[in-house]
Amino acid sequence: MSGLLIEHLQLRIGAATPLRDCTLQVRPGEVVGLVGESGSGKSLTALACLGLLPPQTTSSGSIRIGATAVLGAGEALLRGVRGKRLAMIFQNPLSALNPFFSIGRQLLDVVGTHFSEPRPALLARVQRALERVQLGATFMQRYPHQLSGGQLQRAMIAMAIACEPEVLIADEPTTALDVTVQARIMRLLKELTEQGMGLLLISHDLALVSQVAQRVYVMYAGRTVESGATRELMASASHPYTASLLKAQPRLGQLQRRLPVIEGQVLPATDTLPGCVFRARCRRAVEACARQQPPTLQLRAGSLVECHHPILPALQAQELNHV
Amino acid sequence: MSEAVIAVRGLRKSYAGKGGRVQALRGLDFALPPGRSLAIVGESGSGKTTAAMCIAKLAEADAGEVVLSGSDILAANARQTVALRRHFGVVLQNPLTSLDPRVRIWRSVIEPLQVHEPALKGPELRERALAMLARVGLDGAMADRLPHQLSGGQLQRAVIARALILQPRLVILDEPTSALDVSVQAQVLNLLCELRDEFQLSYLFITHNLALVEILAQEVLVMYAGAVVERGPVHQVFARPRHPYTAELLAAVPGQPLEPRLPLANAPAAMQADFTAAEHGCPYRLRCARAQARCTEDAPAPATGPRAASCHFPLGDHEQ
Repeated sequence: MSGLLIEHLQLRIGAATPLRDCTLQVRPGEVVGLVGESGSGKSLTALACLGLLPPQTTSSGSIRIGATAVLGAGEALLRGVRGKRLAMIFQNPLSALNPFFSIGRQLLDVVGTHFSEPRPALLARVQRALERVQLGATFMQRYPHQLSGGQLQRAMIAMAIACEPEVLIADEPTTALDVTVQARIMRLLKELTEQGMGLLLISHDLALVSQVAQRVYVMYAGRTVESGATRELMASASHPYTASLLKAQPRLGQLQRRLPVIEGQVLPATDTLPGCVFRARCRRAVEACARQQPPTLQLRAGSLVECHHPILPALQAQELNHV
Repeated sequence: MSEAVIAVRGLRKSYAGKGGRVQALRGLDFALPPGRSLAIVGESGSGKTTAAMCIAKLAEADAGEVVLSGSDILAANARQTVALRRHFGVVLQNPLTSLDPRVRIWRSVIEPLQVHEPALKGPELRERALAMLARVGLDGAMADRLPHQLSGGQLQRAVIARALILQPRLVILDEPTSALDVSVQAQVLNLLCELRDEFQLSYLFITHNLALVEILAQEVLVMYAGAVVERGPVHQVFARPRHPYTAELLAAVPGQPLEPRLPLANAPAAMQADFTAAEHGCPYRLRCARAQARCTEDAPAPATGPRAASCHFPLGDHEQ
């Protein structure tokens, strides 16, 4: 088993449980989307994978990269994982790079940390990484302020892939970029997975994720409430939250005057009442939703939904499989 | 035809930059009849926010006129400028920085009234604030809170209430929902639609998100490197773009399969626009797959009239 596997991850910080139950998997060569709104716990999930949680956090569940357990691991083990086996890129590349050092120097530092090789071999790795993101060797000498936003994000990606990680986590990698640049970065990320690297793409934008991800997980209030093949999930969502989110997204050429909205507020992270996290805002809520945590159902092969009253594809109502 | 809510003519703005003046705005012209809304779209650096700032006279334009209610605000003195500003409201991208963190919501909302209707007294002011806040969906309890006690969507509602408190006919919206979550964005867009219909508002809607344009506006201007490259009714421009840049923008909107024709290899050089070329050559030529020698030599004719593209080799109907 390789790739990234998160099972029943829960994180508590004081009285709050910002991550209630997250289960997800990224297989080698696979592009997986993790979609949710602000505060749903998607970035916290990423930080947990790298062992970068705030010190007062308590956790349960498991995170594995290959056969290595990451959650609760010591610093020495984490240092060998971060950058080498599991790399991450962030939303704002300018704040993730050091303004005082050239791009080449910063990439060399990262590669030198993980490979004890002579300098020419390390330089070759850096050049190869820059070539893969289509930045020429001249970018080695440049400083962050001399690059455009799209070039900076590519330099960040080069840094992340320079050690050939098994999985790359990209947290809102294009939010700070223009749409035409965004389209290019998305294509680049997808191409990088052709050589076996897994990609976890975190975004608030379902439409963006659907362009590149083979599978998608939807997070709400700290839970992965639905997952499945991208095309199926976009065409017929089973969880009422996913369905509402898809309808609330404005789309080009879809001339509708009023966007359907999701009424109400997200459940606070301090709420410990039983039942479904979406119940208060859900139009399909039934009596059971307030009483107990919804079951995890498999409505189609490869898809899961946590719901008492899911939206069923017409013919499948009879064959619910409890997991 | 009734008088335009706003008429902008020949608006220009340049900044000092390395290697010459940067042409941030190379001539903007439009007029909005009452109740019609216009979207200005483009990427970072296209000049869309510069346009909004110059129109609101928050930045000083180099040339041009902005006629509001019969008077040119750019030619007005300080006192006239303040008076003319009551004809439009402004909603910016980040609601948290639009409101004073130490001032209660209802007091922020009445600030325009204190400037323009100084005769109004305390209880009346509060009543006006509460009525407008209720209209945008914020109750009395919200009115007495401080900005940090509200969510992003609630704050943006408060900013909208302030923009409408003087009942202007024009509201300038500069990326009003780009800091909000998808579900909150839907609520704010719906509110803006309702208010537009109820108060017969005209919006000048600045956005990079093409999917929002047809929700709020009937007309669209596409800007690139400070120039208007295409203009027309939204459904016509989006269905049959004539300028290659408009076509590129539309192809990049998420929600459709990634187009393999976006060339990544030459992107670093090709992403650059020519900001300094003052009057000659097309600013988009470095990125344009259709560019020919003529595009470097002559500037294409500006996009004027109700439906136009500023391009020597526009896309024909069969190519779109």
